[in-house]
Amino acid sequence: MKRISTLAPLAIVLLFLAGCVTQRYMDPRVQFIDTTLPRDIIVTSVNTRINDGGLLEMQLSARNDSYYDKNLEYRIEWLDNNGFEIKTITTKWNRVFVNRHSDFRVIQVGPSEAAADFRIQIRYAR
Amino acid sequence: MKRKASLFLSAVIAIFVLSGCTTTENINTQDDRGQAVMGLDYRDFQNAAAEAVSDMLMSGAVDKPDGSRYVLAISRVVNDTMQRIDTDQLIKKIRVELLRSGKVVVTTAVGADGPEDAMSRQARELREDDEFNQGTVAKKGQMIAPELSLSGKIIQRNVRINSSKQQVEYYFQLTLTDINTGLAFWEGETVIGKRGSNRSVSW
Repeated sequence: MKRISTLAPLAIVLLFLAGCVTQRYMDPRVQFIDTTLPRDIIVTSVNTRINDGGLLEMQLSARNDSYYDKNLEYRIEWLDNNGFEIKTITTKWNRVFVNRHSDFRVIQVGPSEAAADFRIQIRYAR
Repeated sequence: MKRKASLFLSAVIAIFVLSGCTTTENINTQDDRGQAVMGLDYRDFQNAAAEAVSDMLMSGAVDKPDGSRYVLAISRVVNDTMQRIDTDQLIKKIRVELLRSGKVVVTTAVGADGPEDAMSRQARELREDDEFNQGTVAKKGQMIAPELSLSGKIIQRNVRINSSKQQVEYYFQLTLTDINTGLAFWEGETVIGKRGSNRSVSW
């Protein structure tokens, strides 16, 4: 009986801690190059739409959850229906400055109507 | 004599070592981590062109209502910087990307300073020439007139920060004009700023 009374608070603490561990948004299209980056940069959503011109548009929403401002770089590869990369000058490392504890967005448009999917890579600015 | 020989030997070794230090390396244009320069380099043209094309595609300015492609003529792009720039370094990238987008096709038969490719006209001079199969000569009324025109300007502004530092600003300004109405369908500006030593030259 005494054992139950000592186990009960432990169970409550474990349940409380489990509640604190929030499920992070994961998207296979988003890749962090630097392994420490996902600790600070939280991706909140990845949205896509086809615009009036028939081009795929993407928007990545994320948050810099760290105590420091961050200089980041991102690069978007556009893929066709068969998963082949589409050659474009827009596939290059672009800089983005993010204030600490701030949300930011990356918005890009596909280079042609052949673009059916994308991959975005994020790293610390070199 | 012995001293002279050792001095000569040292000099030869030093030359070998120094010549080994001055290596030439190829630039990885996909991920160039080289130091920025005060003047304009290929990265700046790439950034300006990519930004212009993305903005153009996102704005819908090159979406023809019937779904077909616009015919674009390249007008004058003024280099108003202190550097000797071939503005094709910027415009060619934009042309290639717009062509790949499937929304625009560029005419080389019409340009602000005459046709870019004079062959379209010259080949028509073969009409009435018995040496050529007239069935293969370009027919009259086949050329397509441009519907849009791309013009622009690259501006440079030097700002002195203090006795040792300066700031150089480059403005890439582009305009897409509907030739029929004369109205600007799209306008864009990309600013590239550089800060560095006064000793660095930007011309």
